[in-house]
Amino acid sequence: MTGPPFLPVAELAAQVRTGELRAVDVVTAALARCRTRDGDLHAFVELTTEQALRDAEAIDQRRQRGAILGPLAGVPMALKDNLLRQGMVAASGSRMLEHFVAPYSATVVERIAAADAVILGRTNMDEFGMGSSTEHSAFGPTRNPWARDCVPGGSSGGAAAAVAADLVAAALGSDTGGSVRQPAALCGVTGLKPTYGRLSRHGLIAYASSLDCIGVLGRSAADVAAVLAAIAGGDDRDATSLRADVADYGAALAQRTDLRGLRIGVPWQLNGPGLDAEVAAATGSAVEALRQLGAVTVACELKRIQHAIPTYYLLAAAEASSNLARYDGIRFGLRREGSGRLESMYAASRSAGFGAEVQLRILLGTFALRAGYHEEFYGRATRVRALLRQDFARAFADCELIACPTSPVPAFPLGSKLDDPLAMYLCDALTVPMSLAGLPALSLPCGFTAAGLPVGLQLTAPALQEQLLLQTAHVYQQHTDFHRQRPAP
Amino acid sequence: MPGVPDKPELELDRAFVRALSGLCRLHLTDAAEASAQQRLAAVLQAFSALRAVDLGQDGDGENVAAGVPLRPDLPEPVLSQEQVLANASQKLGGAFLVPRVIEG
Repeated sequence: MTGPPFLPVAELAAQVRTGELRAVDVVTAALARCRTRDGDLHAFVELTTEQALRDAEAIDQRRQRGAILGPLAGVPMALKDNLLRQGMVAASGSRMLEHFVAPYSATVVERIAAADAVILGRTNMDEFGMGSSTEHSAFGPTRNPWARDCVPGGSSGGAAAAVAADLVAAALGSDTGGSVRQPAALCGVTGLKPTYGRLSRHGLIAYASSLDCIGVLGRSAADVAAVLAAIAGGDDRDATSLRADVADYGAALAQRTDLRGLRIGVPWQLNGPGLDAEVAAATGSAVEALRQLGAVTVACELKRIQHAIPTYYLLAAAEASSNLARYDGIRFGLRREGSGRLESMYAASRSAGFGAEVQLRILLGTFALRAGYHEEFYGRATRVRALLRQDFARAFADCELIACPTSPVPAFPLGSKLDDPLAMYLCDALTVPMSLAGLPALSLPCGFTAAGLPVGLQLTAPALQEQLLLQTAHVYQQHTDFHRQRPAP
Repeated sequence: MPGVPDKPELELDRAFVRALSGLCRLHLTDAAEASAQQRLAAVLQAFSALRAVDLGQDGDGENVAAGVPLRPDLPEPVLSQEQVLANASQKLGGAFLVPRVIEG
């Protein structure tokens, strides 16, 4: 007996605040579920059990002393392995950082702690966020809770699997080209990539800085809204964080009970060619359900969308080759001496510390930035990115949201795409366009394949319209139960 | 640089990949080099379609959000020397220890 699944986040926190539930009981039950269920899933790379119990006891003691607890009081959460938590290891799925102990905490980690959430541990991920299956983790793959022989998606696959298996009530991930939304879709949970800059990146181990976003995974839009409200907002330690007002996303959900008048664009380029037939059918039904709830669907065009994959991978790899230059074996990270000379030590350390996919992307990025090729590859990709932004701006002139599948395929068998990087990159075809444009996008469960694999619908909004995304998803989830269905233990 | 690929075909030879890995400060084994050559060539070949995109005048659009704020140019608390050195695999006397750079 490991206890029932969690209450909704806001309800759970409310009961801890009033004392109906003790944080320590909630956390103890969650840790017991982790011990029982995570053995074969491998959603976590580390459970910080003792710290979690100490934090939960401290929350209960503060309540007993009359303190008013935060909006996430006692809510068990997980952190992706690339978010810094002071005094704890943050390895970013890499041998390079296997023993790296964070000297400070990420802003979002400070904020969920200030909101009295309890962090149970760090979740598995593709190394430095580079992957769509969590198979590129140096610590072994995570399995999909709905089908153990399939991937959970990536790179935040551990976080998505942990939420889907009810190991935690919510999790923080990161999304550079789809790394929150795609695993959310493949694991049947709700995942939000906010507007670029909506959440501070301070304390996030960098992959591609112009694209990196921290995101939230939960079982429902309401759970995601509760977490987002606690962590959104500007931060002086991240110059790219936005100073825009933060709504009470959770409270705002009640303002909308139907979708009357909402114009949803359905771009044909993202809703037909290359899609798995069952994914197309499930997402088509979901769009029809949105229409039944009052939305008006309109055709729209994103005419250069087919260039998003090369644009994304060239830009992300270029930025990664620069960001990962810091791993030289001297200040932090794995060190190998090589022949004893400095350059040899650099190469030996980096070759031993980075996995094959990371090395490939460093090579690709260095190529794209190299003299003689810079303008033809990196420069051109930068310009195409601007064109893609303009395509979205034109589409949003006639609609308020854009709908399409999150992933062109459902969860695929472990190992089936590992030898073909292009096939793996194409898993991100429907998520990288929004990343390049810096737009908020949310994946919500909208059906299952005949084999019982979840399918996700992606909704995209103009910048800073997270509230509209969450409201729309919440209305849909009030009339469907895909987000309530759980995989067998 | 040896074996620089001909731009139209993007054919990467082993010497080019070896030189590229040197720029990346990576030392690839023969097998890893062969794999990287094959994978990199496939990816770049697929991505070469980008070279045919008509950029027109729209392609000069701005990519950086306007109005990125700057912090005041004032000293702020920083990590202590102990914290900075905590993750170094080799350190000595409050400094990072590196291999000898100047011979002699």
